[in-house]
Amino acid sequence: MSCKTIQAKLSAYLDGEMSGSEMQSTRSHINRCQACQTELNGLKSVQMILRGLPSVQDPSEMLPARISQSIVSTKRTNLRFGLLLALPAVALAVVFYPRPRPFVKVQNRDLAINRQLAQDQIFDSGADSTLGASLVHYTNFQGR
Amino acid sequence: MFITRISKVVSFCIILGATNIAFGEDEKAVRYLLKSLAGDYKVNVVAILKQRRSDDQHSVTVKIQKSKDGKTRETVLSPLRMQCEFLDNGKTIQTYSPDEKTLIIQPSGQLSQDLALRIPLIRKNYSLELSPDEKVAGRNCVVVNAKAKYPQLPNIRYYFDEKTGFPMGKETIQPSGEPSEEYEVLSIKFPATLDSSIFKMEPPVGYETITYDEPTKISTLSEAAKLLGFAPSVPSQIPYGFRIQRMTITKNSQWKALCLRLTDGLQKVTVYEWIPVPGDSIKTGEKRIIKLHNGINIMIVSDIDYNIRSTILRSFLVMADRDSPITLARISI
Repeated sequence: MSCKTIQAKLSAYLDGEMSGSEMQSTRSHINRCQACQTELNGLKSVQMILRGLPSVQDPSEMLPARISQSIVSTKRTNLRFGLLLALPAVALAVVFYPRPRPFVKVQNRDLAINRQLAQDQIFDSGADSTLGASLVHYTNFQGR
Repeated sequence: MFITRISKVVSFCIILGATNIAFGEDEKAVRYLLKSLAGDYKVNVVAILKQRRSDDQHSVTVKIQKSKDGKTRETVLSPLRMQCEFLDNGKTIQTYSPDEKTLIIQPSGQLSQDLALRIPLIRKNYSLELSPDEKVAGRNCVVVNAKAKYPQLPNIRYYFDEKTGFPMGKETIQPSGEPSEEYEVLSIKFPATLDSSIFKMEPPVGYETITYDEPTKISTLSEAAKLLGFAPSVPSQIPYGFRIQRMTITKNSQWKALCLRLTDGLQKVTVYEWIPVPGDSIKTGEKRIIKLHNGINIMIVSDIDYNIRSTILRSFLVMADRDSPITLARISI
């Protein structure tokens, strides 16, 4: 197979979506081809970066931040007019969003809970996948 | 390790006697199931197996290396995004995760080998039958069907290597007839020796090492309430023949929760209860259902079907039996 064919299939290769023989031939090509190795490493890095990104916030949650931004930018051009427009909006935002969400702290706690759950499920059944310990289970709790 | 093996053999004999197993088909099925649950194969094993769940997009291929004396190393071969390695030496499990750059060390789980509880439960909740032998990965296998006595629960079919008792396959069949989970050994070898280095894992440079302590065991709900700061909800009876196997509390500064291990002998369910903090975003997901009840989060985690999980969760919500200490006495059948 050519490098072009291999590189088109790298994503499927990473996700284990290939048949056994296809996987083998792809792996042996990658092992001897520097260009495809580099491409694979690049793809893996992208996946890792994407995995590390925080979850997408609901647009409505970003409303107060957007209002604040609009206040700042409007201030530069027309302070009085901007304040006039922004104040009722800020008042509304305060009514609807009385408590700011401690995002970073909660994210850490969620991570701690998910990690603990993953470990707890392993502790529960042992790391023996032959009789019911589902490794898929473990990796799902790790957010994969 | 030697003492553990002796105790397994002794418990095997006690259970055989205590449960008054009928001779014949049932006896053979139980013998293979027992041997497999105890992990007592008396041989070194190197196997490649595939795990698949119908609701997961991809299957997972795992390499298993097991020594005669019960040490295990498991390596996820594919998909690459699920790469991790487990090393269980009978005392601790090390989980090496290259993507998270972590090495997690925790005590070995022993609940699956709790045969004194599991075997009577299996006999109460399932009827064991043999099907004609089949070949898996070129090996002759004894096929054991565990038919659930509750029609809502899935039936399970096991394939055990006739000579060693090693589990070569497992299929979980839902009442609708749909297979929901399966694993199958693709290739297997029984080498005379295994290099001892296989069962050692040094923390790699630059990786974070996380150590988890064994959770605190408790035996009554009043003891749990004292440690948790709230009275947990536990029904006096759990549906589908499930029983409480063990009650523990997590040793985690960020998450103090009650963990109830439930089993019907073959299936397992874990129930977690804790007081949520504002902004907690742990939600119902693929293998878990979560519900806020009287200010306490109750979460059911299991591989079993969603409807079964929901019914078990409801039993915790409806039949809450507060301030009534329960003792985890062994059941007698």
